[in-house]
Amino acid sequence: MKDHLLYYSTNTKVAFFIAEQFYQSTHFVWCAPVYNPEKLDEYDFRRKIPASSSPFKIYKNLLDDIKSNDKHSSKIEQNRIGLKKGAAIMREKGIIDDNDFARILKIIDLADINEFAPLVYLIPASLVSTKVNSVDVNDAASPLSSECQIYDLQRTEFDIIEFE
Amino acid sequence: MIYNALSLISLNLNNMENALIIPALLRLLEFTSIRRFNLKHKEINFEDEIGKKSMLIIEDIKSKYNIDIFNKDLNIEQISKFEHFIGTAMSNHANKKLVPRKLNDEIRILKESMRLDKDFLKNFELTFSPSVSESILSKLKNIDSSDFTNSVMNPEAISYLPSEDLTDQYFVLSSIEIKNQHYYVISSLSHESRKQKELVVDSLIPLKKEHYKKFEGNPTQMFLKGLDKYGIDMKINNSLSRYYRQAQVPKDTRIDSVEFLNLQNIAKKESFIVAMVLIDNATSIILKNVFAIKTSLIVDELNN
Repeated sequence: MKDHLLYYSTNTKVAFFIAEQFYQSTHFVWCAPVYNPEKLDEYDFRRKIPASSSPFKIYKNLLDDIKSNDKHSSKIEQNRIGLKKGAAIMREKGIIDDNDFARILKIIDLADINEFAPLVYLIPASLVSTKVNSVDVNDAASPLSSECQIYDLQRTEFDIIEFE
Repeated sequence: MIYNALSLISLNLNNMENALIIPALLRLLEFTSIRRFNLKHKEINFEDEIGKKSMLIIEDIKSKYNIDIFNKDLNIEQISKFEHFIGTAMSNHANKKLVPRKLNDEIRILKESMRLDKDFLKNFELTFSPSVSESILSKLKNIDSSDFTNSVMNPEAISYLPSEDLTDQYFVLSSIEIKNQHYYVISSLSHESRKQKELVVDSLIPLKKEHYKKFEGNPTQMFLKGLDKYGIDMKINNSLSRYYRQAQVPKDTRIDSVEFLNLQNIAKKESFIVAMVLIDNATSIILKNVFAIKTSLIVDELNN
């Protein structure tokens, strides 16, 4: 894989809050080596990153649903489920106890649509080179895509930006 | 999608062993990820003890909501619906079985509290509330109040909980050593604006460092851990909770009594209630930042 300067990851405000408060500022993220694959030239393999995994598309879809006040947004519903699954995994690993598990699920259920506002994490590749896991081709949204996961991204290893 | 009403969803988890419910639900979310993203190389075990419970839940959803997650023709919306049922069951179980009390106010303080500079306390004089002095400090054998004053005045972190009325609340995280045991001390402090220089310590909560290391630097989260360990469930207006940011009780309630809080028969001498603000109006009394601590456990912890 080509060396990258940055990885980009789109997450929600509520996901950020939960990781900061309950997982000791350790964030599990999906990330990609490019923000908007559609803007790359057609011979760049990173262009193969599908829309469902494009940080730009994820950001745009979430923001569109929030702006239109779509209370039944499937993206947001999926995010709630993903956060609950993450909390259950943390509970299984012993990182949180039953009280915190209940608090986290309550936070997820009570979160209103604006708390799912998207944030882009800018992750310098030099800081995370040893912990970026390329997603198995069978797990990636497209076999030719270059998606990655970081299981234990620390708050000191990324900056956050938001677009209007 | 029109299946957002949580109360309408009820899966039959009553006959399941508590410890297996969340793992069984988690396994189903892992299974739906396989379905959703077509992860052909991954398999889910439905034959072990957890897997068998997952199967029971699958059957329950199939019979009640006519969604068979094994049906290969399910579309994304049906898979989403199944996931929603699982997520809702997880929430219901966590709230009803694991923590049978309202958590809204506990969550509010996590969201509202702000970090302050550690030097903040230098502008104030510290006093201990009578209940802290009587219920905790006077009963300790190996340490006195000046040790706690020194500890609190040298904080490791401070959280500030702004208030719209005249009293702010602070959580202070500091350390203390008692008979070679290292503790965090979580102090809850109140500040009345009319007493400019005085901060009152309303509660002292010790937590053994070895168990709570991962929460260091977060006084609000540590305060909740303290409530998990020493806190007493209270009932106000038929609502069970362990921390009330604001509670309203009828005007004729005796506010110096524990009875109205229905403290589940815990003797008053073993506990104290913190209600930092009392606001009277025509028909009711508003209490702010209300919680109760079982002090006998704290004294035992520090004296042993």
